[in-house]
Amino acid sequence: MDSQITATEDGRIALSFHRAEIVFLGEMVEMLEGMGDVEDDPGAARLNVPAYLGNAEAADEFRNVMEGEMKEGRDNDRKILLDVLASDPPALVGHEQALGILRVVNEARLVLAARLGIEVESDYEALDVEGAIALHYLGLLIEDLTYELSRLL
Amino acid sequence: MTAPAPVIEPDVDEAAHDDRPWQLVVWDDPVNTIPYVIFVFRKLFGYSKKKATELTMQVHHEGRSMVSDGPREKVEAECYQLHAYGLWATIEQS
Repeated sequence: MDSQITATEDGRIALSFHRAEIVFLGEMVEMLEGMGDVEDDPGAARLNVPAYLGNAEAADEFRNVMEGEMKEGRDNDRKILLDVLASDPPALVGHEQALGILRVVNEARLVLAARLGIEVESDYEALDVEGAIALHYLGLLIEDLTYELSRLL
Repeated sequence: MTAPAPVIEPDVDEAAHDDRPWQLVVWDDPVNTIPYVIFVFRKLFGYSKKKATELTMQVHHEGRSMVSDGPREKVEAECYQLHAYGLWATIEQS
């Protein structure tokens, strides 16, 4: 991984991405923006888990109340990442923006994994190389972001 | 003409007599990483690194952990935040 992610002394996060990473992460955002319905897209289903088990009415009510704000938040997170990808490196973002980038990268990993059929740990062994590399890269990015953000807690 | 939205009447008797606390449960999943979950618990709940790690390892080893409890509105707000971070969280009554 060629990206560099570091917390600065003034509490911001500096991010630099290699060209190939910019392209890949842009594709991840496109993937998230093109998600299908919960009923037929395992990625969408993973991002919209029911808040109540065994109580469909309460789960639906929770989703109905929260889904607008959730969509707005996720759209905003994707915009933050796209803005960073379009910036001259290193892009400097504040703590809240960095959290948004962390959320959207994790969101992409969850969706990708769900679409690749990851349901239990052993499913990773059946991944093709491309899928395994993509999940591994996103995992490393999450690890770096988490590490640097943890230093600011 | 649009049909009026259905009005859901609360079950007053049930609500009045069922004061069991609400609990927020996080479930294990094979994708979210352990350091990420620890970070989310620290960030959202203000837990110490030790407590966040203990809860995360309980999720990992036992399949679930009760990470917070309280009034329904509080727990629902926390569940929303966990969902925003991609954690598999559900709400239940004790």
